[in-house]
Amino acid sequence: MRNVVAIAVNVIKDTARKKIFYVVFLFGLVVVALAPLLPTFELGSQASFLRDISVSLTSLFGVVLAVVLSVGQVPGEVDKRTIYNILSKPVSRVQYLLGKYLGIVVSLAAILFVMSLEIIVLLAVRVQVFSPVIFQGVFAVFLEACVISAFCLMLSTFTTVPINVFAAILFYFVCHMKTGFLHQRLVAGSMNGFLKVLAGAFYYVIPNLENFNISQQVGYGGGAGWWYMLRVTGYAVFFSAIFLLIGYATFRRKDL
Amino acid sequence: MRKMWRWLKARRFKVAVVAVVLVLLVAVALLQASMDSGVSAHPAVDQSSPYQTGRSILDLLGGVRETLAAYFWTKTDTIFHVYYGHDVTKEVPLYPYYWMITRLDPHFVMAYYYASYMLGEFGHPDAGLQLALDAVRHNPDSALLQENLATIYFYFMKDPAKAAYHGSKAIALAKSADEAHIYRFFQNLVEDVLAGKRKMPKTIPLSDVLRLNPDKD
Amino acid sequence: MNGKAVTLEHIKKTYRVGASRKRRAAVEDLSLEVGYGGIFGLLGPNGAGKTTTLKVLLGLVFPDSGSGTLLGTALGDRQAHKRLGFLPEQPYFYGFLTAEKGLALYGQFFGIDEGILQKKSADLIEMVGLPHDSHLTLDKYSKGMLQRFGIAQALLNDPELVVLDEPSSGLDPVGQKEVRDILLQLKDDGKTIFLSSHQLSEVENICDSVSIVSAGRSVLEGKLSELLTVEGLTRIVLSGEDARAREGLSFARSVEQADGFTTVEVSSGDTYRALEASRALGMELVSAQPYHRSLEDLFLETVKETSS
Repeated sequence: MRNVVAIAVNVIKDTARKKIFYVVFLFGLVVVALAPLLPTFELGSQASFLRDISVSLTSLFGVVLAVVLSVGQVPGEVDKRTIYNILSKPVSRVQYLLGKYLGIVVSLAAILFVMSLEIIVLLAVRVQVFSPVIFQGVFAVFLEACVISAFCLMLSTFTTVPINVFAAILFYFVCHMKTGFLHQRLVAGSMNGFLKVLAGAFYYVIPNLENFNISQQVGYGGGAGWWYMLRVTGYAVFFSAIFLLIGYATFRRKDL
Repeated sequence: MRKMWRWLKARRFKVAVVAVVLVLLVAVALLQASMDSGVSAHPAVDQSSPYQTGRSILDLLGGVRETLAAYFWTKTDTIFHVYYGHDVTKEVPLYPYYWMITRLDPHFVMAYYYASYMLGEFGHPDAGLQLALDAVRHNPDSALLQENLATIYFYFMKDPAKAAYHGSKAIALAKSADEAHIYRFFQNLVEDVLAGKRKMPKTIPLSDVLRLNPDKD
Repeated sequence: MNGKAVTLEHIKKTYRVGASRKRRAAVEDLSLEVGYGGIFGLLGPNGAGKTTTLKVLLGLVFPDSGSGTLLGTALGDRQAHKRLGFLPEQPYFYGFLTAEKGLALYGQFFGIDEGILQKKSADLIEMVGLPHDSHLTLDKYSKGMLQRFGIAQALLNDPELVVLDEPSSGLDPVGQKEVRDILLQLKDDGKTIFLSSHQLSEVENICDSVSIVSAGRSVLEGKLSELLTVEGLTRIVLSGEDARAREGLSFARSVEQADGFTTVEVSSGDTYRALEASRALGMELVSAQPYHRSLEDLFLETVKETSS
């Protein structure tokens, strides 16, 4: 555990050094400062709209962040050979991978927490509303980012950075787009038995990232229930575990 | 059997990984099924909606602005059906989305169509007219937007002459006889009002269907 | 200590190379043993398989076949790494760390107490001659400074076995001498050192035993002094370049005169005869010792034989 934490802390320091934290913080300051200049709509609930859009945009940002933090972890260290100094010490490869993932997750949590505070302030400044439900929406974004990070970290154990980025983008779109299409047309529809089984397997095996999209509940519905949040957290944990396990299986005997 | 056992033993790590992954997949499948069956993030899309909305997913394939516009469009669909019970008298909160879409993609005809009329419906007829004129400027070949402008002139600005002008343009631009036939209903009403055969309707129809054919039950 | 610090038995490692993904052997059939204590040198031309051998030893690369032990435990056992220090060739470290923070990070992996670690780090930084600027990050270090830091991090856990790949790489002559002194001090402290180097002079100066690797095999192994000693020959060095020496020492294998010295090579049996003859000529004796060839000669000879 000590080794995992040491590697994780190193990842966080590296992330902080890359000034990602400061960019987010500055971005938030700029957004809040410009809040009075945002357009006023003649109609509609501005608070609901802003809640929904803020969480949606944070989701997009969270995905980009997850990819940026994860894709270069292992290939970067192999190319720079800094990995030799770690794995020649009494650090196992599983500790190394878990340490990397923990560092990425903590970095994501910190950045997204700051962003949720910025959204809260924006809402307070713009529409004089205090919406703690934003934390729930951003937590769901965080869970999605964790799954994507695990996926990218898994790929980074055996592919290069450009392929990893491309695969991550494809993964994001496939896992967001397939929900309605598959579930409505094939799983619940009138296809024959074999195709239904195949479609069902496909539907359940690929992560449904739409589960983490609760921007509309946050915007209009007062948030998702605790039971839903518990299940979606479990969903994120299990899928992250799957990706990390596969990543370790490929990394375990990789020649460095 | 023994041979198989030896084979498995030689690959015990890989076998263990596969086994754990399968167990985790079963767990996530159960969670997914549980989330699908309950009240969850995405209730089923209303199959009785008169307009096809899922079509915009195809728009995700091209252009950042168009992509964002399409993204906002799909949001309005879910919000309208889930949170406002397909009730057009309650869809005011969707206006910001339609406005945003028109800024992102000036060729997104449906967004202009809904947004400009909503402005008129809910007390901002001049703003609605401006938006409708903008729409026609950006999309001069759109029969629907000409029709939209006609209905705004008729119901909100109380100007049947201009309504008739744009109504006839809509019919001329219609891409099919069926489409022209739909616009004909409204044009007949306008011409009747201009000819003094009918009075200007007092109530403003809220639904799309009634807007174009106020005599429909 | 009983047993061997390192044993490798019939290690084979191949890689797939090229578009055809054909297998190419980096290490063909390598066996070697390194006892505890002393300095062991692994020599070989480029592409001989030295770095691959070190990586196999450290669990960074997995051999296709063969086995080995490291500090008495099987290869791959992480426990042995607690007693091991490693310096890779042309090492890179996390550039955003300072020397102290870098040592603190690596020290954590050994579970060294923070207070002890701080003291150790300061001592090691002093020992390897690094600047005490706590603001200077590793990405600002020169190649030589990185090499020194690399040695420091390899010694952090007071290892029993220190594995070094090209330890003098990037160092100036002063630095090389300092590294040499450090290694000799470590040897005096009872540590075992396993180094891979191209610098034959460095190896010749400090190694007790060597293994010469060529084409993925160990072709020659043994104590350096024994390998370099040519049996049955004595080299006598005399002061002066007396013209009569060639005649007076005509029984010698060779008589060479240069730079004010006369060097005579005789069979061991003729050593005293040569000494008598040189005394008769009035030439002063400088040294008389069994004939040693240079490591360079041995290396080139061995590699040439292998390639032919």
